[in-house]
Amino acid sequence: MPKKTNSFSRRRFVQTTTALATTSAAISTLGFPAIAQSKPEQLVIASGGGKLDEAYKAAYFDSFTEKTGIEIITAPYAGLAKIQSMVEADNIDLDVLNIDAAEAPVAGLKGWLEPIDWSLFDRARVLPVAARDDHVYAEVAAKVLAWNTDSLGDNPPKGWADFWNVQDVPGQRSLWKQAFQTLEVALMGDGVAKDQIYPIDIDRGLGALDKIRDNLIWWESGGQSAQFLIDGESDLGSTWNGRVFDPKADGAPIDYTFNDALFVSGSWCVVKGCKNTKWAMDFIAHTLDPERQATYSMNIPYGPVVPEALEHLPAERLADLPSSEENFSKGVFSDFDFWAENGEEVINAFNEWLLG
Amino acid sequence: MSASRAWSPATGYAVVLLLPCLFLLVFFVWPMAAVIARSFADQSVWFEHYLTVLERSSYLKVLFYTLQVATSVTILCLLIAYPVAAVVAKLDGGWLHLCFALILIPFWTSTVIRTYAWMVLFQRKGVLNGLLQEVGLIEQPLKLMHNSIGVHIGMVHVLLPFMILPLVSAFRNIDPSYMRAAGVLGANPLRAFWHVYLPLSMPGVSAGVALVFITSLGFFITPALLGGERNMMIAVLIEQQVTVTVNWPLASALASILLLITAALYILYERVSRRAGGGGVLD
Repeated sequence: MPKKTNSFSRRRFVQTTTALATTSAAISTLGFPAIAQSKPEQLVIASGGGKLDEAYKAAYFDSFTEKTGIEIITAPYAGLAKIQSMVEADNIDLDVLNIDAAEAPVAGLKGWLEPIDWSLFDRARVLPVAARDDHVYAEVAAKVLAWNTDSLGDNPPKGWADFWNVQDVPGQRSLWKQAFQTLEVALMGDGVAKDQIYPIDIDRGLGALDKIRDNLIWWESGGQSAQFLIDGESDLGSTWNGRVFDPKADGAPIDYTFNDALFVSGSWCVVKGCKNTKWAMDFIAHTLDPERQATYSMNIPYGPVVPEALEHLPAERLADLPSSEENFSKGVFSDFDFWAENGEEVINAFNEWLLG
Repeated sequence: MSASRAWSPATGYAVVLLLPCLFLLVFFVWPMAAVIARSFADQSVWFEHYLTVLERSSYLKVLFYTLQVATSVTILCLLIAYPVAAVVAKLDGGWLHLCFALILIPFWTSTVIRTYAWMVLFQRKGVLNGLLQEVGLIEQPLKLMHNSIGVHIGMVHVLLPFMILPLVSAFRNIDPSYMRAAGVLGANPLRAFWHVYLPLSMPGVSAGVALVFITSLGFFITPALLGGERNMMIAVLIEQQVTVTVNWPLASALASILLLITAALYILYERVSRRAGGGGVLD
């Protein structure tokens, strides 16, 4: 990467000289040196869109603009492929990225992420699992067990063990057609203790899936996972709590439990070479304020990553949030590092099994 | 002729073709070359990523399944589209417009929406199973999706216009007097069709088959939503390598293999259809 270092130092040189020029003026009048990065008019944030963006806007975007005068522009979701192409072209046109927490460690291993500036917010106040060196989890969501209440209302499943108990809990089952999160669920269903799931025993997980294979259908998208259950295409299945929350509230025949939940998340990060790193870091620290975290969790059923925020939330809301004290104890957090390091091997084994 | 530099129709065509050629060069040839080049990136031995593909039985299975589905979808499309196109080609006026509308409106509707519509119809408790159970024709719901049946119905539906349109255009170019002449000379309708109509329609068949087959190879949404665990298409694997594991060299190797197979099949097909006297796609 010598080319990058050069251009960086050249930029720094220009910045320093400009800074020096302005400093001589600034020192005499204000008495402090000018900052190296001038304040941008806007920050470009890439995220998933839809309800998620609305909740981010209500909790973080608007208040950040109010505080700093910097406008927040949202851009379409930028996954790993987009990051790689930005890095290759050496043109980082996104300031802050909201990507899947499973993608962030992959980007981190590739060396694409700027370290988080933890001097801006006390790291100890954040859930340990969520406070990382080069990214911060944006919320706590959950992969949950859900079911159609018309078919299983009288005898709802209590956890993944029931999902694997075809005799006592009959019915069509549905899971995500991905190794990721599905193997965790399979291990829990096979009786592995929650704290023993990682490192994933691939053979045991696939063996567990074999046992219920004839009763399984597969979903590919979050919307599909909830629709299957609401339509009765499947009687019980995995889905994300955010996907069943609204239909349940609207009276659809669907319910879910946080028992055996697998916690997942989005994450905030900044790609190396970003022109507004300082302000992007400011924005990330801004999202960690407990009251803003609480506002976010009032707008969307995802829990805060700063536990203090729970104090700002009413009890009836806490019942719906994955990271409330009670719900958080019922499940286990995904180990995204395991997937970042072993993803290709496990995905390949899973594909072989699917096709076998 | 000494005035070889003077304007001729040929140079005119060349000038007109320059722009599309440039376009193809920038937006087709160059990216494709980049993909092929990338399939040789980050390798410790030559063809490393190609060897990885060959070593993983899942990739070969998916590749084989993709070709198999593309073939059967193409055959189904041809069998359905041929009679439809033959009838449409004979129409004119309002009926012709109506039929074209019926063919084109689904063609302009998003594939995702059409695929979801099939899901509503085909689900276990969907419209079709509900109806059949209500009438008493079946007791247990039919398994119409999460398997190859769903994939085929969904893909044939999406791809039919690609077969019907070139066929209609070929049929309309067949002079009806040829068929009459065959009749006058004593051929029964079947014989006349076999020896006159079918060979004359081959350019349309060639174009339709090539379009449908090649488009099928890249199908993504429909097999993902209507198919089951074993109905994985190569596009899904390529996407996995691009976005999930970010192994672009391997994704490029997969894409290059698909390209190679497509090109090989295309050349083979051209040869065969030329030999059969029907003319190739390019005729």
